[in-house]
Amino acid sequence: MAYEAMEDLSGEESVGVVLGSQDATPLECWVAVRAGSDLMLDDLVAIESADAQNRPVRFYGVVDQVRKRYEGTQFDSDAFRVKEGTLPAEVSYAGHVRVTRVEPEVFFPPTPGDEVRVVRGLAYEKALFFDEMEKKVPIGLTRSGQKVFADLEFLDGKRGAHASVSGISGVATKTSYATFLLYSLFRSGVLGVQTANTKAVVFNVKGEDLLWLDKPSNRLSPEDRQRWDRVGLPVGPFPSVGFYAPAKKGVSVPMPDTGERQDGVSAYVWTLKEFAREGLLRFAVSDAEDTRAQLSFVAERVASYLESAAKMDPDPGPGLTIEGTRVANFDELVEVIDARLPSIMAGQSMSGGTLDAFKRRMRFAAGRMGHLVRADHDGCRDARINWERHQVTVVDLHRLHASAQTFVVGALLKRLMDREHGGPLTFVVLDELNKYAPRSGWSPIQDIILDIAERGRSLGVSLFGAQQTASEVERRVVANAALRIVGRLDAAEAERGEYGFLTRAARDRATILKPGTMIVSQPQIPTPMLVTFPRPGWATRRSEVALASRPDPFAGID
Amino acid sequence: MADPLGGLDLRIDPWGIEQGGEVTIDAEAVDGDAHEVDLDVEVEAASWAALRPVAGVLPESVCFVDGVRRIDLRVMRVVRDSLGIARVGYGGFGSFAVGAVEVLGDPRKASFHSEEVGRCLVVGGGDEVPDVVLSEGALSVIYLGEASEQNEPTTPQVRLHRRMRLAEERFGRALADALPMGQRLVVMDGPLSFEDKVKGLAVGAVKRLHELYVPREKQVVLEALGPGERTPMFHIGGRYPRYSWFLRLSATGPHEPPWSGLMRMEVHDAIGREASKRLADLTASALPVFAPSRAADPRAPQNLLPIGALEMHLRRALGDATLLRRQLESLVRSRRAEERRG
Repeated sequence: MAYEAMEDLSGEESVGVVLGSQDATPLECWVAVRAGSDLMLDDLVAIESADAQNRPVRFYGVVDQVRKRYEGTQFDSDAFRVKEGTLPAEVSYAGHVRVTRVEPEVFFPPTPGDEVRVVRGLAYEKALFFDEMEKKVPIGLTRSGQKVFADLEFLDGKRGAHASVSGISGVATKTSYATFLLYSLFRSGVLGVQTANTKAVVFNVKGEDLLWLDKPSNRLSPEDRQRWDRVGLPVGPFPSVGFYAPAKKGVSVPMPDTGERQDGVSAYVWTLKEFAREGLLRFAVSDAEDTRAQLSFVAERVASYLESAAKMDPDPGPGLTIEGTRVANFDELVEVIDARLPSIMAGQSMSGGTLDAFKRRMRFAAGRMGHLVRADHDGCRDARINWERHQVTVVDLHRLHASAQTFVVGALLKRLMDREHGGPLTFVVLDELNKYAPRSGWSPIQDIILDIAERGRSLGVSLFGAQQTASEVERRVVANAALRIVGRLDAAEAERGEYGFLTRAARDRATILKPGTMIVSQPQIPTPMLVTFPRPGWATRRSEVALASRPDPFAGID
Repeated sequence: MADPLGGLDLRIDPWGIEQGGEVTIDAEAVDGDAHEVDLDVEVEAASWAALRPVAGVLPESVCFVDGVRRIDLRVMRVVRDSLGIARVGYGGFGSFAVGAVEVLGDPRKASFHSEEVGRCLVVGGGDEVPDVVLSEGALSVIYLGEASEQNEPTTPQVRLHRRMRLAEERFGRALADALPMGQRLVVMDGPLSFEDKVKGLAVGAVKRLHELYVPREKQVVLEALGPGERTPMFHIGGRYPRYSWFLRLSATGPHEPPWSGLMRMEVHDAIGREASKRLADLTASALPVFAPSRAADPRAPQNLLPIGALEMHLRRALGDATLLRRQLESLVRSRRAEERRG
């Protein structure tokens, strides 16, 4: 225990003293606010105390509740009498402080009467342990405009990984915040020499919000720019983004099936060879709820059958040869499997009903995602998603059927996890995690997501998952996230155990959060923090794309 | 070690304060001497009737002054004569606080003005009593010694009460004198006992009507008073000559005695009849807004809101009763234990 000289705080504003009418403990206390001073939620304070030997001890904390009341009045109606000036009363103004740090680490309570100061500068950094973070990633601003950081080591896998963002939909803050985090990681310089190597895969699940990451926004006010400045990040879009959209159905050349975003988007498909070799059939057979154990067993068998077929295929092309039959698209594959299913499953006492059910599932799959697995055009070979080419790769899913979305996510995540010796650090942004890794029910890609949550850290995969309700996501996926973030929550949802990291006051506040404000809990800071983040510097829809970056149709015309 | 009790042989009254002969001191019975009452001050006695003054303008500052007192520990002093026969002096450690609420400005705002706390150790029997300092941790208070010739079980309360009244008087007078005439009105809780004329304005508000002063036949006027009305002024002679009047703070309920809701006010007669009349009108129209509702205060309506709040405030200023009693008890006990060992 070191009693070192501490920096002088006399320049910081003293707002009051620790009060003695309520218990002060090493972890929390109430502060009586002096007349003429103000104490606000989220203020960071330092309490200057001393031990019995009169050695200085300093408590740092964050204000998580403030209240005023008339002192000395007995009845609610006394408020009117005080207002009329017939009854004297004193206003008691107090704030509740949750202690974040004690210096040195001695856990005795502060003494009533101890001076309380609102801190900035170095004391502010100490209150939030920023002085102990080696690599600081800006993750937003406090409400008073001071920078808030997270430790990179808890995002890049060294000591932890993954972020989990929860919040009701419609306020569009979940993905905004996840992309803000990504932007901060890439543009703050915190990754150092690894910046160029580090990649991100962003799935665009709904709408076209994420299809304009490379375009500057025209919605930024001077205040927004100022806020970017305060966070310490350059204002602008992501500098290096690749876009992939699923190939259009019924068109032989793989053409990206997109909405408003047309330029710079590549189409993606899987070749039949890849499909077989990587065992992706597992991700194609979904909604297998009823007879799930048996059906997935069949799927496993067929997948390994296809894997060996792919290995033995003498033809290096994108197609697949199965026992001499050349297969060039998903429908043909379904036919071949249909015909060979009894022999593939030979020796297994499998009821005819189960096999029929599997065949039905394969036909459904053909209709929903068959067009994503093909080998009937030369272009298929090049229509492979390559996330190494750009810093950020956006994979559009929003026009796909839910089971096709699942397939694409599963197939890509598997490829990420199958990289030899891991690979360069890759961040994955995935919304609607509750669909892909539900707490109750089943998803064909549940296992792979769980695998990322548990092993991704050591394989260089850090998942930024978002969901409306963390209570509907597989427990272990949420539990493994180092950074837990909530936006606005439904009042009932906020009460659930999944948000145990929130304090009482934070739970209440989560129900009234405005867009652009999040509550962040991180391993080093023992209390959740409210942070705001600037409006994205990139467009989130076509109409927001700043004109200068749109191709000018009148160029060259006087 | 110096004896904190200054050589006093004190014993703790085993019955404590609650059970001990706590006789209510009649707080308002200050002026026990005979008095002459003159009704013909404002109107002739024959035409006595309720007056409804036009609402006057209150001075910029209105102060309500009050005090509270408490016996912290009852003790008995043992004095032995040359034959070793013990004589007992009734004593008590007591605390009192006086303070004021100031109602100021427009819109009106009531706030606690200031307060002062005094403590004393009163012992009956006439022998000299030293000051006792209670110093324990952060706590440090002085009980000023006070000897009383009287030696009754009620002696400590009576003397404590007198000290409080004197402090109230001093306090009220200082407040009244602090601002030029007409800018501040001081309402004292209880009868006025200022020994001399004050520069500023001070009225006494007597809550408990144990003495009506007006003859029986005029008491119907009291009953008939409506809220905001007052009786004509009358003069009370004696040691503290003063003008007095009754006013009504609130209407009498059907279940209440006829004089409930009344309050008697008094001012020093040295301020003159005209000034007194203005004060009478002012108080009759201005004080009813300060009356609490029956639901809020068992002493409503006479225990005016500022006074009620002030009493609570002052009780807090006295400090925690249990804490002081403990400290005093252990002081007396340790002293006795030392004596035995010695």
